Amino acid sequence: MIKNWGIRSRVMLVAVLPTLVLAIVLTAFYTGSRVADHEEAHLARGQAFARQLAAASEYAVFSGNRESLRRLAGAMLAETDVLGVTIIDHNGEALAQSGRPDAGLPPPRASATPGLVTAKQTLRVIEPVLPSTLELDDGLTGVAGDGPAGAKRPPMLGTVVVDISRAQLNARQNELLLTGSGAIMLVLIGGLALANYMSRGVTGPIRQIASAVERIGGGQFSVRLTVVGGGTLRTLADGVNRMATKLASAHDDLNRQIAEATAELRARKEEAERATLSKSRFLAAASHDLRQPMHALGLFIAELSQHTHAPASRRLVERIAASAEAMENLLDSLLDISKLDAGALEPSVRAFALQPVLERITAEHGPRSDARDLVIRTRPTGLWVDSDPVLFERIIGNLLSNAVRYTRKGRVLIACRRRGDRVRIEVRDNGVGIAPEAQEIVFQEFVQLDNPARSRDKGLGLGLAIVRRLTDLLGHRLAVRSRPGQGSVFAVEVPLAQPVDYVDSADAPRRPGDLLGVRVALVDDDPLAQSGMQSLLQSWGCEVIATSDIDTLVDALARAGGPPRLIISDYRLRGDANGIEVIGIARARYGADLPAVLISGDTGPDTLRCAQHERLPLLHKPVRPARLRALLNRLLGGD
Amino acid sequence: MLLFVAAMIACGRAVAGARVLMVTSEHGAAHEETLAAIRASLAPGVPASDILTTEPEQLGAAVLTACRVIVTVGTEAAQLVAEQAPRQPVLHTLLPRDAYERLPPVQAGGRRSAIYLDQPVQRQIALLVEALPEWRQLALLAGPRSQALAARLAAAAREQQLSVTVENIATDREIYPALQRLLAERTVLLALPDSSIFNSYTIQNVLLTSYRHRSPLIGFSPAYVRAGALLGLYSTPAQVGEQAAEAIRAVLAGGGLPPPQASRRFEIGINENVARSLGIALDSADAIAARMLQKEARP
Repeated sequence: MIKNWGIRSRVMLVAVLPTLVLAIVLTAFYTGSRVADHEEAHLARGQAFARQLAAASEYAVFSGNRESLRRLAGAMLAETDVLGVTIIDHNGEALAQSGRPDAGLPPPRASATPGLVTAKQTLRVIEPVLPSTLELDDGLTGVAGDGPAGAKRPPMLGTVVVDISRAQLNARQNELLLTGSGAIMLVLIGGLALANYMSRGVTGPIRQIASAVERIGGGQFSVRLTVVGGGTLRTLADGVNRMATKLASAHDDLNRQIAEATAELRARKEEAERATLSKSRFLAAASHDLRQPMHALGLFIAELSQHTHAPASRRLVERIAASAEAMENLLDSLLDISKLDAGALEPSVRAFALQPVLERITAEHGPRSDARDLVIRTRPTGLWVDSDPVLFERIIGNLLSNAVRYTRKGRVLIACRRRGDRVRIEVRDNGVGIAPEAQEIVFQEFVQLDNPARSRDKGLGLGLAIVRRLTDLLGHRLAVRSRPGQGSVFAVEVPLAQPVDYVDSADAPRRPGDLLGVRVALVDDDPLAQSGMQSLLQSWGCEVIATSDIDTLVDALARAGGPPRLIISDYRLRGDANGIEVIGIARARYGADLPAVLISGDTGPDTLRCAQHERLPLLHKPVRPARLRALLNRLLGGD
Repeated sequence: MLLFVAAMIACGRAVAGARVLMVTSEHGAAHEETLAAIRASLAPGVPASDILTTEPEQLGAAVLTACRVIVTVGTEAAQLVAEQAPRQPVLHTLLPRDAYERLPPVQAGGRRSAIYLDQPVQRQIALLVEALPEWRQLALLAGPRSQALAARLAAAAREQQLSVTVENIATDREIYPALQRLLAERTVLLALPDSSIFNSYTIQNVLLTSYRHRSPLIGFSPAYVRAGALLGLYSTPAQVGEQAAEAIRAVLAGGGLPPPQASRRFEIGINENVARSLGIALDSADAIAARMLQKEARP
């Protein structure tokens, strides 16, 4: 038990125990001796009473004088503690009795042996009444030969029985015991108090050290002990102080190193961020500045191709259109990447049948493969999957175009296979294949294996990067299996869905020519883009009121005589104005349900977010004429 | 060694030539005094070498046959010597009369006599008459062994016109009631040499009782006088020794032993304190003794 005691308790024990033991021993010894003394004195007193009474009552017993005996016994009662006196003769007959002898003791008999009987509350002294002797045998009595009485035991005349109360003795003994116990208690309390006082001197410095160590442990390295005492205490205090100093300096060093490292890291990060920012800014600017002329170019080409040309010119226009399309595709891919990186795409997942989607993709790539000796095959399937159909089409489309691009001759196969509650869609080719060490980097942007010259007809190197981002976004698993020269297998795992009765409205055929006579308001501050768009729209039969800002638009509309059926605005306009404000003003003036299209050369996520917030359809420059027309048809078709 | 041999030779000659053999078994003051008185009284006629003192246990035939006369001192020595039945004349001293009478019968040709320790009955009554002439009442407390003596005393007292009351009791427990009866009127209580009644333990209470009744006690030894008896009548060892020496000389001179008798001479002890306390006026002891001797001398 002592093992768990603190210093203070140990010191107290050491201080108190010897004192207490000594106090108990001494008190027990002295109390015991006092008690024994009292007992002895009490006994002696009782015997003295009895002897005195026996001597005094000798003649009265001899003469049978009861009156005298009664007086003697009565007189004896006057002594303190005497309870009762009985005087009996040699026959055991009580001659006199006074007081109340202890009823607990046997009544005195003639044969009672002289001596003491000790009961709980009474001390009984039995004393024989003996005749006093006078020496008569001087040799002249002549009775020597008859057996002198001196040889015999003196005849007992009677017996005196004195009962003495022990009450006072017991009370005195109890008092002594109480006093002794009290003394021990006092010594104990005094010893504890003294030990407490003295232990403070011993434990004080140690407790101080303990509390200092605890505070140092809590991180207060500035704590220092004032050195009290000498020897081990001094060594301990010095050691604690040295330890605290070392800990403090070590702590400071560590903090400084961390701060330095953090500062360096922050600087690097800021540098990197600055670099990224400037790159992004450059890219955004370059993209925007590229898009504007490209947009106009696309529009012009679209318009140009609607005219009739001589066969030579026709071929030229077609080549121009193809080149422009390739460029537009590149820009679209860049836009896709930036949209995905901005997290601006919200997939809308639903169940759809795989077969129509796969057929459409195959059909799109058909013409390109026909040019080479390449066969694209799709294994028919009746499976349905859970995914965003648009994004899914993009994934498979990219994989397929990738396969077509890297397969000179042979075949490309799209196969679907059920795997538990998933569907695994594989795009297989027997093309050049991918080395194992390159299988991971093919998913990075602008990586093109086997195209150091960056031949333009091999694409931009963004296809697989987009696939990776899309599968990550949709939560589909993407895998690649390939060996150089043996071809590649790209696989996507998509959750299986139950077929539903669903008709894809997007596939509903549209009737062209709906745009004839539709009054369209166009706001664009770039004159080239404005005129390109105006020409395109007019070629579709629209009546276009094109201006560079809202004020002139309102005026122009007023002149044209009537509100527009639709408004198209560039997002970024001259000054601080933007397309959303323009559309807002126009809707305020011409009706809140005025269909509107926002066009932007910015590919940054901010524009997209703003457009989504206002629920406005956004088209990025360069706008594909077909896409624009489809959008216009949809917006106006809702009327 | 030399001393021892000399002592042995002296002893042997003494035994061989001793004419008087004194035997005692006790060495109390009274016995020693008696022996000394005999020796003193025999000198110078009988030299000390002719007197041998011995213990009863050392008595042998050689010792007994060598001497002319044997003297015993004390009751025990008398009994032991009587059992030996010596042929020489034997004188017993310092023994009561009844003890002498209870000795084993003497052998044919044996002679013995005694000087009694106790005083004759007449002498005791005479003391009463002479010392306390105004007291005419005598009380006697007798035990089983002293009834005869009490009867003799009573008879002697009545001869002197004293009224006598006698209480015979069996044990010392009856002393007090008997005394109460005896001492109902003022009387003189005469102690008897009966140890069952009068002994060291009873004497104090007896004395107290008699004193309470203003009645004097008369004892038979100096010890009684010291204990509180008014008077004591007794013979001293010196007186007994002188009388014994007379008898021895007579035997040595070729005569016979005198008859057994009490000591002729006696003494009276008086406790003056008791006399004063009881308010009794007494003559001097010598005057009383003289009157008693005169009376005894008359036929």
